[in-house]
Amino acid sequence: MIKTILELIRNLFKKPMTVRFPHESIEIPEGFRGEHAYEIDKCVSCGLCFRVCPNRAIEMIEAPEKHRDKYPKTYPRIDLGKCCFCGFCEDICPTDAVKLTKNVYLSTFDSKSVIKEPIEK
Amino acid sequence: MNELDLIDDFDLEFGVNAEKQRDRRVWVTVDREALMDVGRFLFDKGFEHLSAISVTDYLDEGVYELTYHLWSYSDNFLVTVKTKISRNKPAIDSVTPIWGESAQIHERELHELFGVTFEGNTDLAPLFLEDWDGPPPFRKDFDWRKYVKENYYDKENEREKHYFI
Amino acid sequence: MIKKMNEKNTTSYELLFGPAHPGSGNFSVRLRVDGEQVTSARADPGYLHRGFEKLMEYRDRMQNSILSDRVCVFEALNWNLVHAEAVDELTGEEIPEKARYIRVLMAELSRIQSHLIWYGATSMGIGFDTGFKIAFGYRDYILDLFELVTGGRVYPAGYICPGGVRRDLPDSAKDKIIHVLGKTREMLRKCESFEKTTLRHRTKGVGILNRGDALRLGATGPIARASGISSDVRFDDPYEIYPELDFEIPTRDEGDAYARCIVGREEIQESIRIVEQVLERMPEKKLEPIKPKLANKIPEGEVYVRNEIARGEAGVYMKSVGEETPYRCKIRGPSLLHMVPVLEHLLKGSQIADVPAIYWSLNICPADMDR
Repeated sequence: MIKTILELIRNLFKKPMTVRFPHESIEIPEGFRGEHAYEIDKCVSCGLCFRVCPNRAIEMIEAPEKHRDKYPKTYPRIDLGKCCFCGFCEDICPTDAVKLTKNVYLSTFDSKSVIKEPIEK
Repeated sequence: MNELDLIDDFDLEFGVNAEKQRDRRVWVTVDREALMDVGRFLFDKGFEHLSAISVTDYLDEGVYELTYHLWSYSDNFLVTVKTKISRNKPAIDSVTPIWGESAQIHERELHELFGVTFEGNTDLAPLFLEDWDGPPPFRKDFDWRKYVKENYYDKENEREKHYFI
Repeated sequence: MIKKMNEKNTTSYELLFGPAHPGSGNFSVRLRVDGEQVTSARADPGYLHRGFEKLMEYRDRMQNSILSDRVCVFEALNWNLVHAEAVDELTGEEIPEKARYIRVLMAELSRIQSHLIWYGATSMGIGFDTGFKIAFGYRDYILDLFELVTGGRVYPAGYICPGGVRRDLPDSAKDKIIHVLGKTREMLRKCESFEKTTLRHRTKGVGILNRGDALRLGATGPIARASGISSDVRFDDPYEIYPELDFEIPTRDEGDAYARCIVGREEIQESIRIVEQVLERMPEKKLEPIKPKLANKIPEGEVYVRNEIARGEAGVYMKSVGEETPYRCKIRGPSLLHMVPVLEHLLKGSQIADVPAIYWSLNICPADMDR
């Protein structure tokens, strides 16, 4: 009993373990697997990311009509709703066109917005 | 007793060749009729812990291969007993008289997922699947991609339509 | 939830414990109750069945490595290790020495974290919410470490993969791990000071599993060790660098829920010792990261690999016919036996008030049972 009370008193003078989330947040370390950053100019359309993706979250699609002159090949479209953030696409990409960033704020109300197009429509 | 002693015993008792794969691993293939005798023999030798039972489906040969992984707490090594049964009418004696409830739950799982009937097991009620009407789902000839596509995916759905291509 | 069994006998009911019970996980037990006494129990698993064994037949080794995270959420790294070892044994690849140390380091941290969840869940089950919050709070320090090393808080995405580990330990990791070990010790001290006033009253003498039953029902890991079976896969069937390390197996003879809690906590202490030794001996050399490869065939063969994870014995039986994907992959989770035969056996004849204490003292995980 005495031990318990001592522990309680000790806890009274301690800072809380939590952070007040929207106002402050814990720092995310380097190398975190978050949202993808994709650079279409680096992409060589090899399709390796499409083939290695374990969840089939990546689909190779053609660029929209107006960009087709500049980008004639197929490019990865990433469905974040299916993505498991394993980072294989980043690892296998020969030109570092796909990279995983530290962005974790991905929750959304709109189910269509989870699909990342390779180029703006 | 070590691995080599057991291999000799197998040769003497049943006339089968056991193989030492590496340290602490012995693999042996027996006939399905001899399974219960081999099981009792191993249990008496101290293989009290039935680690797992597994079924492998060989579609081309038309057989199911059952593997029983047995661990001995006293001698610290693992024996895997393999036996083959026909795939069309998969039935085998249950090992519940030897290993009790721990064998029962493994057999119940395999009965559901592969459709193997374990004769003598009193409780083969469905375990994981609920309201399942298809064939045993872990068989090699069960095409789950087709099953899921027919039953769950929607061609019109933007995010599911590329499964139909 | 409650169904009257017999119109004449008004004290006899059927009671569903779970799957909507807070903390029970995706799992339920049907209890036949007569007054306060449980007359029989029937486990009803299957709420989390995802068919991993089948899914693995369609994926190559690196993709399976990711899938193995999901076998049990709370012990992703341990399951990574089991899967990676099965493939390594088939390929016969030489693992770099540093990778072997990192593997054990991460597996032990994962074990500590899983035991903290166990403590938290047991506390919550018996109505000791402070214990739950303390355990989950301190667990977050370890999750911070996982975030730093693997890049994900809960899912390491196959960090321990066939051939080694996916990337090297960051430079700042060592100091952070030592800091977190200090925090874990602090947590253990707190648990101990709350011990006599809380946990012991509800768990002592409850749900006694004797040695013979533990053997017959297939109990492994801490559950078996609390019943006097001194067996630990790390000792008996050594893998990785465990034979070189110095640690003990905590064992108890009582076999009740309290003994299981104590064994769990003593195991945290042993894991801390292991982590310290591993950090001391960790080679300095830089490690090459492992990247996924396409058309990477697994050589023909079959293996059965056993590992000690926090909940008990984990096993993977892998059969390969020389393709990229395994022909068959059987996953043996410890919870299947703990949650069905052991739980049914212990609940029979117990009091309703003791059901949560028994249930959570078994360190169960519906995910690795259903797979």
